[in-house]
Amino acid sequence: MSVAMIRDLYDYHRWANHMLFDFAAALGESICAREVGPQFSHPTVTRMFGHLYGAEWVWLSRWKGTSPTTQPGDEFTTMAAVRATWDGLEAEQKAFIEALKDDADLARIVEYKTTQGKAFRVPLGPLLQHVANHATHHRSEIATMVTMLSGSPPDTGMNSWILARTGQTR
Amino acid sequence: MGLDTLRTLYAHHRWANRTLLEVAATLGDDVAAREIGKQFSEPTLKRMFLHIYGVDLLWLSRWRGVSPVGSPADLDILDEATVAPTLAALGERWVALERDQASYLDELRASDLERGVRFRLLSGKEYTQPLGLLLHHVTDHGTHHRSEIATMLTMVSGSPPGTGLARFVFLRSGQDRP
Repeated sequence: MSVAMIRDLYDYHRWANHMLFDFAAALGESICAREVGPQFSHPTVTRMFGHLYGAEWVWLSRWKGTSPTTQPGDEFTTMAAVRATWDGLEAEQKAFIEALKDDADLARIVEYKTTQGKAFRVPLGPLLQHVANHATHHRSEIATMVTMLSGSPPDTGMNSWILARTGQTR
Repeated sequence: MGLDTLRTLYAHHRWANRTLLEVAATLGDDVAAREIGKQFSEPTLKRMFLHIYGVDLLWLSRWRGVSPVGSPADLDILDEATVAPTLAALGERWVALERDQASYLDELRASDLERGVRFRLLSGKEYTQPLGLLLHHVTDHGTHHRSEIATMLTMVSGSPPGTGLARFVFLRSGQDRP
């Protein structure tokens, strides 16, 4: 595990979240609030982005030593409201990542409780990986939802980010 | 970039692929070959698994310096009738690929991760990218398509077990049960 790897991962994470959010938001609030189907883990695009925000807020709190008993995210009724709140969290998350110094920080054991009160002890490094991986899972759902509502969104895979970062195109 | 982290990501990748493959196998080959919808990047469960398998295979080849080029439909290594006549057949081939992939990872040294890999996509277009990020890309790609598989399984049967990285870490450390 290295801090440089985590910084790259979160650069990608923010890039992919913004790419998909901006594409979805451009479709308009009413489309993003439309129920797409019970097969998805959250029924609307807005709620799915709200879930991404909520999970990131909960995990950042745990990394900093606080275990929330509830997860926010379901309360957002518009994409604009998600964005307005997420921007602040994203800056806070970025500051946390930038403040990591070395492998010892990544090996630090995080003791936390889930919102149901179950206790876990896990090194910070895998938890940082988990949050980015969790977002990839839900962005995939959002991409399918957006395809159903409008059309296929731009690719947000890591390889596309690597190409964009190095000025290469497909 | 950390080798240990990448090995953990690939252990998760194998476990997650295998977990969903086993769920799909219990539904039978007819269900796995049924078209579920055009909103997915592949229309059937079997083709989605084949896509993850095929991309893993292609990248492993590229890391070793060989870039297959051509239409996916014309490549034997990606041909459904050849590689995945059934989910069980695909699963058997996948075991061999997993071993090969794990062996490749075991032989890497930390300095290898910064090495630029020169490769061609199937289209023939050439790129150079660091090996470490490409290794990470493949596991991230797997997560993206397993999410689609989870949605497809929910539509044809019911919600499959979670295959997230946190659950894998909990199971491996004895803090959760399968």
